[in-house]
Amino acid sequence: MSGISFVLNGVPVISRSEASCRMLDVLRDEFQLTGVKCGCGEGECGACCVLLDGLLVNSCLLPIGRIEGMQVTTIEGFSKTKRFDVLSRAFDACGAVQCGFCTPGMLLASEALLSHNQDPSEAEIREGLSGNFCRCTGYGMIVEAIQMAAAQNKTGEAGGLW
Amino acid sequence: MVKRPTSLRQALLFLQEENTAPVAGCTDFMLGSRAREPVFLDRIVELSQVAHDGSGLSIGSGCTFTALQSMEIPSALRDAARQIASPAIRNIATIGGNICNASPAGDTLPVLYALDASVELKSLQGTRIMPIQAFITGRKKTAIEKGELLTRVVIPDFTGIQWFRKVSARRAQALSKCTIAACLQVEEGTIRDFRVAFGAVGLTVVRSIETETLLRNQSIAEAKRIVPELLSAYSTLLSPIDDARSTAEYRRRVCVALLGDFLARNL
Repeated sequence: MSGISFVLNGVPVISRSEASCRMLDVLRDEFQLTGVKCGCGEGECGACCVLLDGLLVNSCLLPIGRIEGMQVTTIEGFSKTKRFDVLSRAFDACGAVQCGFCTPGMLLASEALLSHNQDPSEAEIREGLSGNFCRCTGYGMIVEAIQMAAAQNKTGEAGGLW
Repeated sequence: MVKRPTSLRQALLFLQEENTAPVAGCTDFMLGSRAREPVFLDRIVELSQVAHDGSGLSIGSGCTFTALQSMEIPSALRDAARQIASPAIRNIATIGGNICNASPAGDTLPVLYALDASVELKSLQGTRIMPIQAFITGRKKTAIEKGELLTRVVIPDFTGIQWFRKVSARRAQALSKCTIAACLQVEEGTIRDFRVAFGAVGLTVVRSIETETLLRNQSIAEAKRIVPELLSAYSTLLSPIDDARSTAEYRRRVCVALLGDFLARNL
C-alpha cells in the first residue's frame, strides 16, 4: 500500500489508512493526536476542527484521501505558536475554558477568524464561532477572550501577530 | 491509490469505473453509506471558475460557499450560501454538491429555481444542459447519469429585485424549516417579471409559473389588489409535511407570510 501523504503540523507524514477513512479517526488513532474530539460525528459541533491549508474544517467530515498533499494543523501544532500563547492567555484571563472539550476547536476557530479578520465585531466573532458548540460557558467568555486577543493585536501588545 | 484527478477528463475516466462516486467537499458523502470509492474533484481547477459572458453567469460546480462570498454572484444566492451550516462546512462544501444531493431543504435550490438556472453535465460522450427544475427529479434524486459530472451552473442575468429568506431553528447549523426566493422586476409602473420559489416544503422546490402570471404585466396598483388572491393561491398550492423540524401548517403559513412581506415591501 503506497499510503496517503500529507503535512501534519509542519511534518510530512504518510497515512496507511484507506482513502475513505475519516480524518478524525486517522488523526486520533493512527497519529495519536487526541486534541480532535468526536462530539457529534456529523459536522455540527466543531469539536473536531482542524485547519486545512489554513481553512477551518471539520475532520469528522473529511475522508483522508481528500487531504492528500495538503497542510493540516491540529491544536497540537497550533499550540506551539505565539498566536496560541496570546489566545490561550486571553481564554484563561476571561474564564473561557470550563470542561475544555470544545476548547481545541474554539481556539482553531479563533485562529481562523483572526487570520482573515484582525478586527472582528462581536457579530463577526459569533459568526466565526457559529460552528463550534460549548455546553459550559454560554459563549460570552469565549467571545471576550477573542476580543481581548484582537485588542492586544491592535495595540501591538501581541506583537502584530495577526 | 487515491483517485484525486487534476483534470476533468481524468475524473470522467475514473467515474466510468464500477462503484465510484464523485465527491468534492465530502460533507454529504461522509454522512452517507460511503460504500462507493470516492473520486475527489477538488483539484480540478476548471470546476471552480466563475465567469460572466454577457448574458449570464457561469459558476463552476466545485466552487465552495466560502469562495462564492468573494465573487460577483446574484445577491439572493450570496444570501443563501452565507447561511448554510457553518464556516467550517462552507469552507469545503460546494454548490455542485448542494445541487446533486438534491435535498428537499437544500438552501441554494430555491434561488436557482427562481433565477431560472440551468446545469451543465459532462461525460466522455459529450455535454448536455438542462434547466435545474428538470435536473432535480425528486427527493435526493437527479437526472445525472453514470459517468456524468455536473460541471457548471448557468444563471441568466436578472436585473430586478431578488430576495431570499431562510427560516430555521438557529441562525447557523440549522436545516431549513422553509425557505423562499423571490424576484420582482418593475418597469414604468408595470410588473415585467415576478417569480417565487419555496424550499423545504415539498419533495423538490415548489415554483408555479402559472401562479406567477397573476402578477405579470399588471400595474402596481392592480398587483396590490391581486396580492390576497395570489397568497391564497400559494396557500392552496403548498402541501408541506409535518416532520422533526416543523409542521405543515407552520411551513405553509410562514411561506405565505414571507411572500406577502416581500410583496408589501417591494410593490
